[in-house]
Amino acid sequence: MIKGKQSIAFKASPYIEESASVIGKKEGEGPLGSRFDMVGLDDMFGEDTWEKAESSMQKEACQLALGKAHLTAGAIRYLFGGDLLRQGVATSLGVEQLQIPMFGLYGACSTSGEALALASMCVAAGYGERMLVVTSSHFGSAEKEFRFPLSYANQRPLSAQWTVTGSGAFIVGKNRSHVRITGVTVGKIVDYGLKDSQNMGACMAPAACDTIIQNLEDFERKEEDYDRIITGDLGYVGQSILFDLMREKEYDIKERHMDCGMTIFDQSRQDTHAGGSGCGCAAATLSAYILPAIASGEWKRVLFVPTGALMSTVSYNEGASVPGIAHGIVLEHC
Amino acid sequence: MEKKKQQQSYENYVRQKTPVHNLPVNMAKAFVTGGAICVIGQGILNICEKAGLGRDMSGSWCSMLLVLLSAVLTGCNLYPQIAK
Repeated sequence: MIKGKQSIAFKASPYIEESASVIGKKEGEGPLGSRFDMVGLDDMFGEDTWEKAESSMQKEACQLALGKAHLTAGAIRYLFGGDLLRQGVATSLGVEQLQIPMFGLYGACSTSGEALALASMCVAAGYGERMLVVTSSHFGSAEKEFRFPLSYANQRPLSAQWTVTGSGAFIVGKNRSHVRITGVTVGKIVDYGLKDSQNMGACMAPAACDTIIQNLEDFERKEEDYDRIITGDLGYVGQSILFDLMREKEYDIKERHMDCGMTIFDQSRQDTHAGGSGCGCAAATLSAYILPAIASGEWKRVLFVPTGALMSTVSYNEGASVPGIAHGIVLEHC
Repeated sequence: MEKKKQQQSYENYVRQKTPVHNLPVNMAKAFVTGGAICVIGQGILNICEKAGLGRDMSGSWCSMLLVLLSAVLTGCNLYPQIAK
């Protein structure tokens, strides 16, 4: 059912039946380390390039999720997947063997939200019984594509974030579990004109603010109606800016806000500056930390808002600004 | 016009909120690190000249040894830590 300007409230809400997370060494040493399903000993996952390693993570995450649900790939109607790389190669090569009809997506670090929204819309509309959602990111492949060679010893500013090496896979379907997707708010692009790709939190915060407020308005809810409002990777700088932007519009989410990028790494120990980022950051944290909390009933209703910075290497080098986007997924305990 | 002003004021706000490295501290670290590299280089030159090698030869040895040192440090994963 259409709600407000940008949202949908599902009459027959789909369930997140199972999920799985695969992460790299540094994430395994972080505060959430023991909660992930699979931790890589190094970041290569048995492959010889970072791109193949990322594909390998996606394949593992999908197979783990299917395994947990006692399903084979044949039980999945459509796959919705994406990553940060050009032409989404990590996803294409990663899910190839599963032979599931797929939609390749790009929402930068908000891809997990975009994929969950589309998959749940598909199930709710009756286009299939089960969908598979998968996203990933890899520190090596992202730095190679967007920034500098690792051994270049480039000085990273304090606002820079550390791309998470990780993947999360989710099975969205009609079969009962303890977490339902009851609504989605599809985000629009918000651009406040910033050009600094080393300060992505500041680029994405306006988009997060816009989507969160639109969600509250569309569903006629107040901040207190959510136990947690969780952003993907705004980081320490982005979170602070988000609070200010929301306060300007007379909303206060300080008490219930959490950010996956701030939670996945220990800033003081792991030298990750403003926090973690990447599609894998939000996806892996959702699977390993957020969904169990909702399934157990600790949090009854959560707004999950992964955020993305929509830039390419070309746009950045040509001096274009970095717009942001954020998608809201309403998750409820049942 | 309105949009440009809004973007400018957001950029100013972000600059004020974003933490930056301490410039004097970083400059001091760069001074010490750069100086240390020069001292090592000069040391190599002095040793070579003492050993009786000509100016040109010493210069070549110096370059080669410094490059070797950085390659070894990179291989042992120490280089990024020093660079920090």
